[in-house]
Amino acid sequence: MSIVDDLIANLIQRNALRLNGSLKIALVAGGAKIGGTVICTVRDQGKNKDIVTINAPVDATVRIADLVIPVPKIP
Amino acid sequence: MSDVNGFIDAIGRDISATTAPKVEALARSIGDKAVADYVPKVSALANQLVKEIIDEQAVVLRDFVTAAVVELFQRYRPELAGAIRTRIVATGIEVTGENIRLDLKNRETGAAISSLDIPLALTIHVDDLALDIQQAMIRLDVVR
Repeated sequence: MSIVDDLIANLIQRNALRLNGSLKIALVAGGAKIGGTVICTVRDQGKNKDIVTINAPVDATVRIADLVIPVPKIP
Repeated sequence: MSDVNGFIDAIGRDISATTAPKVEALARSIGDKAVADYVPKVSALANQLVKEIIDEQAVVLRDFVTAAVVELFQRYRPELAGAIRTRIVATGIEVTGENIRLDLKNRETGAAISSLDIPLALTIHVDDLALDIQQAMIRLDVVR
């Protein structure tokens, strides 16, 4: 195992992610709109200390195509 | 000497005073008797007659309807055609029918006998969805 692998493994095992925030999902014509903010904090569990806080605004639109369902046949 | 009209009037008054009450009493007694004795009998007879008619004809009607339904289903074949289109619109989901119809066809020949268009158009209102994330903890692990 390389030193980089060890570094990454240690980082992963040592740290945890904490998520906070709120999202709003609304239907719009042809899809759904997702908006809000997600705050992600990386915490060093060994030292019990927050390392990085990421504030990520979310503003996305999901397109959903029309769904056509044939009526069932009568046997 | 009285004239003819006075003579007749006098007789009429006498009849009204003496005979008419007797006739009225007779008519009243016949009426009371009929109400007391014959009306219940006629009513009972009518009820019994109606009951027997219904009892007998109900079987005939049931057999006829059963045979008619069986014959109808043997003779005709129902078919549904068309499609349902679902699309997302602002604040809801819209469901519309496209050429939805019920065809009735002859089972032997396949010929269409009748067709019934079924219109379909409805909108299901969907409120906005709010999602709160509070202290969601994600721990990672190394896969070896």
